[in-house]
Amino acid sequence: MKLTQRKSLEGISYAALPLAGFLVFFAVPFGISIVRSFQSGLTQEFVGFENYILVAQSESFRLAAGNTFRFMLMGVPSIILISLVIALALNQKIKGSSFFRTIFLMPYVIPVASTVMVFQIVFEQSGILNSLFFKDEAVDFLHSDNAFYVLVLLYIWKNFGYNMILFLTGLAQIPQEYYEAARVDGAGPLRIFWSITLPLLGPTFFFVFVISIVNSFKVFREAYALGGAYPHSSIYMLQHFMNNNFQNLNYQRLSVSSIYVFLMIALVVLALFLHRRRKGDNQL
Amino acid sequence: MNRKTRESCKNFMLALALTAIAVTVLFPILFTLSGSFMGEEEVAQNFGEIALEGNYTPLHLLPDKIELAGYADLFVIQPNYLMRFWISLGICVTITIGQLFFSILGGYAFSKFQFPGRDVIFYCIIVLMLLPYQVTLVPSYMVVRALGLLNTSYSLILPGVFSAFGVFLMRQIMAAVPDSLLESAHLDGANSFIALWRILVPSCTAGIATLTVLSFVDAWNMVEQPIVFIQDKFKQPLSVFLLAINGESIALGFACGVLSMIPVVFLLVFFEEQLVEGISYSVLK
Repeated sequence: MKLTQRKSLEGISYAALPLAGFLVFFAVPFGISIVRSFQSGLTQEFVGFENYILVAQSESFRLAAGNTFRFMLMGVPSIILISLVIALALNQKIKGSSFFRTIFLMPYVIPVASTVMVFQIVFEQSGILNSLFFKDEAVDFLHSDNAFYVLVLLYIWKNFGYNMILFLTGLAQIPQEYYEAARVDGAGPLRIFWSITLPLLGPTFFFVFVISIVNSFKVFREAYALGGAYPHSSIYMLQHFMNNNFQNLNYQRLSVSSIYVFLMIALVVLALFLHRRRKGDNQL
Repeated sequence: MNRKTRESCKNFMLALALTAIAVTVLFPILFTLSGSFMGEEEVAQNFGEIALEGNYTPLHLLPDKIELAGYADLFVIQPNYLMRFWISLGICVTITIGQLFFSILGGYAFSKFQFPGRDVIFYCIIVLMLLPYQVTLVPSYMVVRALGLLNTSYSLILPGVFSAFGVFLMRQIMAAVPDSLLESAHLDGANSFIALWRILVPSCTAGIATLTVLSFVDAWNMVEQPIVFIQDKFKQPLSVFLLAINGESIALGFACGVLSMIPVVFLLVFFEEQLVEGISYSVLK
């Protein structure tokens, strides 16, 4: 056997174990669920796109998908802006920046359940926020449309630290000479930001955008912690919808909704790929 | 004002702003910590049901008198929470070790070997890594159910040890280690398996520390899988079981909240440097 052949066999054997796991726990059953999504739940007959149409027409799926989209529309730009500003501040080589980094990462690592009581004490009808600011007209933050904004806040609180690290990584890769050259040419800080920092952060931006979208799906945890299985309708997320279908094991609806989410993520990944292609970069 | 004083003035304002943000960010965590040292009565008076209509919860930040009632409840009176803690710790350590093992193998294959279909498969792994639980949970559920593992800890562990993110991260980190290092080991007569554990793994410690922290954190925080895979409330890991205390006892809830933060905060504080370095490899450009 030739050496290159041997090497490639070795490579395959190292990849085999993890790949077998992905195949068994994801790829194969996902294939099965694609097949099921085109079948009738009772008779296993082929029904075309009927299940897709039924799910798309269902009230609760529309509510969940709508909330999830609205959440991304509001949460993703906010968190990108906030984490960029904080990364820029930390990038100024001030004292104790590693201390601040640790603190800002803390919400990311702790479980939702550990602090959910505090959020309830702060935001409930008789809570601290009302007691401090809205005593005359108490707002029930957790059981009204405001719950949505509380959730956006929790999402930013939890995830901005991770995004900030990603931005700091991008900032560290910008060569210092560019800044020095710009300063010699008399460019002000704002000009430097617009002409050097922002364009060179481009790839990081795109990655942070993708990660923020992925993380926005995880906000179900906060919604579940605050409102349980049946929260206020403004924070009824896709996972709530799926949990209800897990309860009565409706594989058709489950498969269809997971395929819808898959298609959405696939679109984002395709955009990432095309973006990279346009820049003529095929390297990872 | 000369340039130097202006610079230090700017830095002072920056530090001030960052400190203000840090206090806000830490508020829920410190509040939980402070609440855990309040007595049962103090907690009930301030945050309990007594705050009925017309009454508002005061901004009560520090305990009037330090009491350990919550912790006594946790450690002595209701030991099932502590038991959940140890069981969850066992589950998460198992998942983390498994993820490390499979991710190191996968990362090695995708970074140091050429084989047909390698790049296409790696693209698929990137896509898999970006899929939220709303996609991956349905397939895993089908398998876990078919294996008869519903309602057991294995339903969390088995799908949990295979992490696309882990393989991706290890591949990125190992690709940055020069091939010449492995070649010299090869010339010394070491086979590729020995070269992996003796040469490659010790030269990516920051990456391995990062994956350890991130996969432990991920397992420690899991909510989606347990509420779908495990129906029995008393078999839930701490991350879900804790939510049930809410209504029961606030003092216990605070103490239990602190307990659930300890492992992950410990990991974060000890591995912060490595974590920042390791995460930087995860950026897809």
